[in-house]
Amino acid sequence: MDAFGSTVCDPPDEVQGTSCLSRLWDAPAAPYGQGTLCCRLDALPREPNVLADLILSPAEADVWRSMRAVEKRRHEWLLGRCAAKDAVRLLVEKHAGVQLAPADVEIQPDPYGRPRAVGPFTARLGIQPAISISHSHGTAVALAAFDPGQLVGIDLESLAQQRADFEAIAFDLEERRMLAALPPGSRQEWALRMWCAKEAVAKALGRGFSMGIQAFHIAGPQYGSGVMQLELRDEALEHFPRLRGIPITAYTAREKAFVFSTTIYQQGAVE
Amino acid sequence: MPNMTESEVFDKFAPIVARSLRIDAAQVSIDAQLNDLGAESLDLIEITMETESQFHIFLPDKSILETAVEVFGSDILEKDGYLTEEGKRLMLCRLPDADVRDFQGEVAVKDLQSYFLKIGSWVRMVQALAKYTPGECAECGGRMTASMGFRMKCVSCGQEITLRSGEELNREWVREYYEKEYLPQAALVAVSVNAVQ
Repeated sequence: MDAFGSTVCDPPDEVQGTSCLSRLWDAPAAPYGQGTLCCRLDALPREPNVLADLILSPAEADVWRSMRAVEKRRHEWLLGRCAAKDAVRLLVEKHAGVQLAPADVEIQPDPYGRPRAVGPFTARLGIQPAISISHSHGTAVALAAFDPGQLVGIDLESLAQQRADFEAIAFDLEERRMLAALPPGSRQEWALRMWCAKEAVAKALGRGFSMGIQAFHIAGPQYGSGVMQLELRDEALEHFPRLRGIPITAYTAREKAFVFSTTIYQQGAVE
Repeated sequence: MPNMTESEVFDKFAPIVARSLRIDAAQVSIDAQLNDLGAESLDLIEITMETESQFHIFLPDKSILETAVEVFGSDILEKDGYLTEEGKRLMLCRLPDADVRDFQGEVAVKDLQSYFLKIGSWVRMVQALAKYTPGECAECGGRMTASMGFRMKCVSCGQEITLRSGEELNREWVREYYEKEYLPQAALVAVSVNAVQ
């Protein structure tokens, strides 16, 4: 039974209540206050099919069963769903006082591919949290905001894998000059932070990199705080004309072998 | 280079994907999708760079739909995340090898993104772009080799050419479609609407 008395799935007690399989990760949500939180999973907490049975809605379970993907992709998809459901459940419990089971929160892509949290709870409680999901090297994170008017984006990248020359495509000349001015020992980390910032903003605006990577320009990285100001360029401004000349702030940080970036933007300011 | 078959392109492209994703090349089939093979965003960049380097081509940096929307204006090809009938017509004209069934009913932008993540879509795009990479020098017939950046140089006479970018070629194709296919049709529709009124 879900929180409203209708049968959604039959989860065991450990999942039905407040227990979350992922852990709260404060750092990515820290800049945004009470209405935002981030969950993280570094490994599958159960055998994959058991976890799928525990947390997925019937529609998601159909996707899981029909997914023709390599194991890594399947596991990351499941981890991402788990983290996103936990983030939404925790937010709803905190702000609406209602405990949801994981299967009550269905993660569905919108027509552009941006994930959204749906389920009977949205209509009954009159809430629609905004979410963003990222995974890298077996770790998944999800950022959720209680305010539906917020556009949220998160990106996570591992420092473990050296990527030769990706800067040539990822960054324009001006951005590459910024990186070239950094000490060699920190260049890889900052290149990844800048990449994460671009991807977090691309996700928040809902269209990813379909407008081209160079449509997202790093205007001002602050190396002390990790804050980056991004500007939209070229055709991206045709989709979001209100953002002409207006910087978008993305926060970046490093935690052990990962760097991440988050951004939250008020929808009204964009559309 | 200019006249590679689909199979030749695939045989050269599959190992690039396998190396980048650290998977067995046998897993890379023409119907597989890069994200289903485990590709993350930076893997796609790595695959792009290696493909450009191996095939001497310059891949487009944005989707054909984005380029087309810039030429057509908003809401003509895509509205609220779904392709319009005009958008489906354009995509089918651009992708003659596509299965028509993929463009029937509701087609979301995300479905199109998935389509372009298919190995087969990459192979056909590489094959199309490779036609613009000369194998022989136009001046002396000598062999062309990769030079600095996106340039090719004749080993005999030293003649250099700059490769045309996928973005430039996409835009050129869209403009031609807009002028020769879309505008005449739109004019016909306008005439028939006026006649009815």
